[in-house]
Amino acid sequence: MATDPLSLTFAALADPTRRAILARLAQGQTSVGELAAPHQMSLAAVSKHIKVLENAGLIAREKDAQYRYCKLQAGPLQDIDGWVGAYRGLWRDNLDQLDAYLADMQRGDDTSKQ
Amino acid sequence: MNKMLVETPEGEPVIRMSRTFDAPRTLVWRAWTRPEHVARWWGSRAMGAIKVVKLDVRPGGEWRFEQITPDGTVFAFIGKYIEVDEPERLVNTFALEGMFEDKTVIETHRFEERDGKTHYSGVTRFDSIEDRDGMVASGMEAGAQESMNQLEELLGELVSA
Repeated sequence: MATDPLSLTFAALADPTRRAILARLAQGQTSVGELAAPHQMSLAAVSKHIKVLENAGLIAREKDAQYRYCKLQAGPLQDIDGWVGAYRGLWRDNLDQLDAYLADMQRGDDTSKQ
Repeated sequence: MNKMLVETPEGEPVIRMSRTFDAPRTLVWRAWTRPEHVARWWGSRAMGAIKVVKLDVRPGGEWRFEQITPDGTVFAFIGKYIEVDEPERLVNTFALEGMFEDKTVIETHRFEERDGKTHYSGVTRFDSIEDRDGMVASGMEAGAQESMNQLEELLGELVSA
């Protein structure tokens, strides 16, 4: 189960519709209907995108009396410290994993034979 | 102690990384340039293994590594090799398909052997310091420039909070 913020945030941001939704929410909270309005797709399709953003923790859905709305969440963007943080995180993982893998290779583990 | 060192210099659009591996340089080069090895260490483990779709290590050759998220989205890290000087130096572009593709990110990897260990240093160069520091925000394809600015401002606040 992928729960690290880097992967989920990258995945959520990989889609232009989702980036547009985030940009709209940066202007302030709004309803799903209003979020869907500028996009040439069904409300259900937009809801799916919203769900992906919600799962990545980038937005939250809330209810205020009779009004349901979406708003931007600070958490994951803060966690990954923007692009540099995400990129650096990727390479930190890569180099850690390479270090471990080089040790495997030198031990001659079956899995690492060329 | 055997940790990666990272520098993000003030006046230059680069990130510098370095690390020492307890392995000879030829082995590090092989692990870095052959698909069956790359698949074993490259990418976020939490996402599961990456798929090395393309790894053509020669000047002009392309690379492409794919990762599939739990909701089925495929995202691909892609790039092209610019310089290949085995076993010492490798220069390639780095991009995330569909995001920031108009931006140029160039990675220079250097491998030096000292006493049987390999000292790795990587320099990643961005188009500008703004790109280096604000790529997530600047990659947003929002309708209005104003909302992008607001988002950038917000991200800036979040990062410095």
